[in-house]
Amino acid sequence: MQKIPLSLAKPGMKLAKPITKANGMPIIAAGMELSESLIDKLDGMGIDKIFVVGDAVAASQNPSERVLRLDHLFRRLDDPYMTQVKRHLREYFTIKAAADAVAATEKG
Amino acid sequence: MEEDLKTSAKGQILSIRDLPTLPKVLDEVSKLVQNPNTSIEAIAKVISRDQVLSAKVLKMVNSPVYGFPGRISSVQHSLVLLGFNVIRGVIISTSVFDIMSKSMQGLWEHSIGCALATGLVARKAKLKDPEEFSVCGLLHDLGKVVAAVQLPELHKAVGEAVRSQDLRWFEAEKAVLGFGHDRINAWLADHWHLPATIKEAMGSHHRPERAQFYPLHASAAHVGDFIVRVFEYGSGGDDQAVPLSEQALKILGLKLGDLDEIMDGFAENLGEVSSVTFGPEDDAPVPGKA
Repeated sequence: MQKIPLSLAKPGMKLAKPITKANGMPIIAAGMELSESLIDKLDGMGIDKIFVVGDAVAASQNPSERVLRLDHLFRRLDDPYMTQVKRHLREYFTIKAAADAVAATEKG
Repeated sequence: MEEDLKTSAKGQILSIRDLPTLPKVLDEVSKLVQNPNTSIEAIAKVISRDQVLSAKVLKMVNSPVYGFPGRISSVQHSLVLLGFNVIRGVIISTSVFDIMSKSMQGLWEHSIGCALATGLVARKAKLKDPEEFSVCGLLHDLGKVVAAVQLPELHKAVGEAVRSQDLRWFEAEKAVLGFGHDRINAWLADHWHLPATIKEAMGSHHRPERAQFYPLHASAAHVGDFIVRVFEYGSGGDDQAVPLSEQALKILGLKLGDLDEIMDGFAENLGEVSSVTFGPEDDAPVPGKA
């Protein structure tokens, strides 16, 4: 479990602790999977920190996760050099993800 | 008018009363170091008197951030291997750990991740003393913490600008404060008498191509920051990649493809590095010898 700012919440993450009102009354139960609309709703309610399942390291180390995040991370960087950099990173993480998938099949 | 604001902000930021307190031994050691006849034993002795601090130093220098294969078991040994500049940076970072993890969620993880990445960049570029580059990465965002502590309302406004205008933290600082943490970093580095190499990395990691004296340090910290952001380990206050300076890679003699090996090393060591924390519950001395 880790506490993260809502700005880092992503669809697919699961709540590790319920979200409660200031008086302690739960609004959303633990275990609920976050969706884009739920994150927006939490933002609208002024929630700025949430507890989610899993750990940051695993998400950082997972190359498939990195591939999925590149467009978001580079959303304001579209000059020719950064486009080239992004393409390079996408290739790098895609190859890593494929290698991981092969290793998993061999194991399984 | 604008200059006035900067001067008053600088005064407020550096008002010693509220600056994160550095351990007293650091002052003592800094004085000792000014005398060229001081022995390493004498410095080690002063640091070792503070057992909690010594344990923290050993925990940090034994992490993969510094990449020593064997175990460093004494402060004196760490001074011989890493030098006083590195140990001083380590002491500063462990001293602000609490305040850093409280004032900005994810900033410690971002900083230690940047230390790991910057050290790997330095090794790939075959630079001398890669440990000093790691410290540059470790301290590159210190100004953000100090701003959070000294200017809490402005810090909050920066965070709001990040969210409402989709800015990077650095851009939002310039919009709200008129200057960024790079500037605060340079003030702090002077205030704490950090070496010029570390000061330049702290002050120029956002525009390494303009570093005057130590472009290698500034460039390595810049690339380290870029990498830790790509991996989204921790948070520097926003969730965007930073523009990578093509010139920084050139200064380091690296090509885009050289990042692959650096990223391999980063992903591989992240798990172990993530366990390097200094909360009150982590203060137990490391097994072995302090």
